[in-house]
Amino acid sequence: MTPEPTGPTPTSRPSSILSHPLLRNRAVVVLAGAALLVAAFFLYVRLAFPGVRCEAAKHLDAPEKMGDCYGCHVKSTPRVAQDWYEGKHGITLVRCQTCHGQPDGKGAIAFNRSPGVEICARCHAPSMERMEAKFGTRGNCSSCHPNHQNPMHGDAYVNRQATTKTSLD
Amino acid sequence: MPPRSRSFWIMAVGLAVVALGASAYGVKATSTTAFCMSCHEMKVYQTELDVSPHAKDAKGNPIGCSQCHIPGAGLVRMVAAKTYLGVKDVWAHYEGKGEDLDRAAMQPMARRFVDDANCRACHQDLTRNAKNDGAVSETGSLAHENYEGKNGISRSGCAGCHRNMAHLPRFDRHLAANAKFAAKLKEARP
Repeated sequence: MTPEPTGPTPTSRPSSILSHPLLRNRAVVVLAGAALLVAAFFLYVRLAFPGVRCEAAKHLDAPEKMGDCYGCHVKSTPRVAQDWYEGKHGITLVRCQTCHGQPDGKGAIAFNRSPGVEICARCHAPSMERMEAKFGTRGNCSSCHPNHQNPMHGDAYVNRQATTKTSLD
Repeated sequence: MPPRSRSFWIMAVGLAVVALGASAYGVKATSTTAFCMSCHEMKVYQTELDVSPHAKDAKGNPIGCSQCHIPGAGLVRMVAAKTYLGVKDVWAHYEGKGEDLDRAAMQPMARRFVDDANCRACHQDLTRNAKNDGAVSETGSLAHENYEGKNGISRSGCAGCHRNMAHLPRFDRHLAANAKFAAKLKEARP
């Protein structure tokens, strides 16, 4: 029969995995490895599914084209260019840089792809206030008013009848 | 540690085979349209798809969710996307609130995960129009040259420009390009 243990040295098992030195090291390694795998997974998803394919052409490579956004964009983004050209902003010649700023960063408007409400407000503040008071707004104008797509004559474009006439009379 | 016995290795290999088989089955089963539709919040997408330009493919077969939304181009890519989106969907289903199902906010992420390769699986030739019964329009040919890098280079993939091809949320219904789709949707869901 083994004698009853006496004295200060405990002979019971360590109460948790963290107080046993060898197992604690292994637990730390396993946890660190798991954390690393999760981090690697998120990093992979971020890199493999970028929101954009690549940065668009560097606008600053052609400084002589600086003022003429339309000249290139009529070829590279033909649909948007056509919508602008036929819409209210095109007919009134509100040029690209008025809302989108300039790629060289000059001017009051920061170069941007999607102008925010504050840019609409620079010209349309009175109407926006009336709109807010009467109907409410949705935080961004373009969800109801597509920026490039308002024909000057409203429904005239939509309801235009097909015709074979080639003269006005 | 003493060397493991033979029966240990046999069991380990057997377990690995079973685990792999179960995973492969799981991946396939969670990629079917029926599985997607098992959550009620997904039914609206099916309704929209059925009256969209992408309801059926060129051969007349109905198009499934995974044909667009699950990258098919590589095992790691597919499994990573499925895991990421699957966990998000489960979370949104059980814990999500109204603002988590805000379609305007969800659109950019959905487009991010629609691979160009999935579109090109059917639309191989970009000089042909969508139905492949004629040449692409002048506008389209210019825009595709931009996509291919011949006149500048576009930031966006297929889904970045060709929007509302299969789904039409309320806020996109007034756009002129979606008029036909919106009309059909109104009939289907008055």
